[in-house]
Amino acid sequence: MPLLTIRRRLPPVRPSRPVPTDAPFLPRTVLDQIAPTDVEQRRDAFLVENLPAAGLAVTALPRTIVPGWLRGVCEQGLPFDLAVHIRRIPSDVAQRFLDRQVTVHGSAQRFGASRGRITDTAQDTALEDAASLRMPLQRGQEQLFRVGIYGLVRATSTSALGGLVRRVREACGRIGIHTRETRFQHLQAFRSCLPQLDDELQDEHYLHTSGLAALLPWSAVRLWMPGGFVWGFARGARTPIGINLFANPPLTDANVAVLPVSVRAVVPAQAHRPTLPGRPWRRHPGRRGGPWRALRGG
Amino acid sequence: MLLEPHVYLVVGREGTAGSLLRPIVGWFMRRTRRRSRLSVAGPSDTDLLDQRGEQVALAFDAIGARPRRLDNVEIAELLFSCWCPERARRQPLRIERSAS
Repeated sequence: MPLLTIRRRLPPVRPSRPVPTDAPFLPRTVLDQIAPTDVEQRRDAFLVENLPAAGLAVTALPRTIVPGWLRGVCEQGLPFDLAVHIRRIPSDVAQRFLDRQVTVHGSAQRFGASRGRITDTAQDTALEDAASLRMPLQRGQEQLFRVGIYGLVRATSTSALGGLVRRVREACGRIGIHTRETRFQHLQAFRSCLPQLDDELQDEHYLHTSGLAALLPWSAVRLWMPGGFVWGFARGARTPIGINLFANPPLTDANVAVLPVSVRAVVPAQAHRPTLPGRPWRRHPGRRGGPWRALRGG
Repeated sequence: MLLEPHVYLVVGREGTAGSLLRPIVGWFMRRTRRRSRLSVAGPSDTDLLDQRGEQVALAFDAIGARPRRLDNVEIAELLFSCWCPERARRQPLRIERSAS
């Protein structure tokens, strides 16, 4: 028998309250009204009150996207729920992640080159992406986000659901989105599309600020002042830019310039302001910098 | 087919509390039962969520989206329409709003 025994003192046991079993006599709450009466999960559908629903998860995004790129899917006239989960990665964590990616891919590239192997194009692309994003992230111009994109298609019958899912997938494929049907995961897809900030599929992608701004379905670059003429085309999106040099006030809706990357590409520096022959540049008295300042987001 | 798009934005509490120092200090204070002497004062989670919601609403207002914050009843109706769209169309929720 030991001389000394150390035991953890157990909390006192308190008798639990009796659970009421008379459920039919409990007051009816809001949750009872909201909750569906019956739910059934199948391999290819999730039935809520006998109405089937199926989930879609975006598995791959194209490398190049244009502003308002998801609008192509939303304007197809197909009824479905689109859920976009956006989680910001802290800058220090994102910086460490990119440093590690650059180290891993760079060392693998150097090792392969020392053995005389040809370079892996996928690895070169990943290294180039990580290296190009490090500096804007360090300067605070960009941030890194973790984005999950899911769709939920509902129909009145299982056969109609299959056709609708196929059409939505075709619409996504036309703009370069690779999707998968969430077989055996329709409940997770359903819950991920509910407005409760719950991403159960965890099918996420990394996007920086510019990519995320271009991804949103309602974002579209439209740099066109009322009464303006074509000044040029935005880099990448190739959308026309119209500027009215004689507008007063210079820019009625300053919110048209919401994407500074595209704007910087077309707005020259202060020294390159255009002047018409015989008409020197005049700064508008009410706004310093005139339309250029407004286009730069000032 | 005529469709009417609805856009909802769900703002979470994740990341609003700042660093991990505050919850760690709070946990330590609770363990050592020194809450009364060394209490960590700060905005509550609801205040942080309200502030973040206002910031997001201002950002969306700047691009012309004009967001509107849903109250409790509207959130319940939204969840109801997401869970059971057909029943929500036939039998909408009848919740009495408080007089506040």
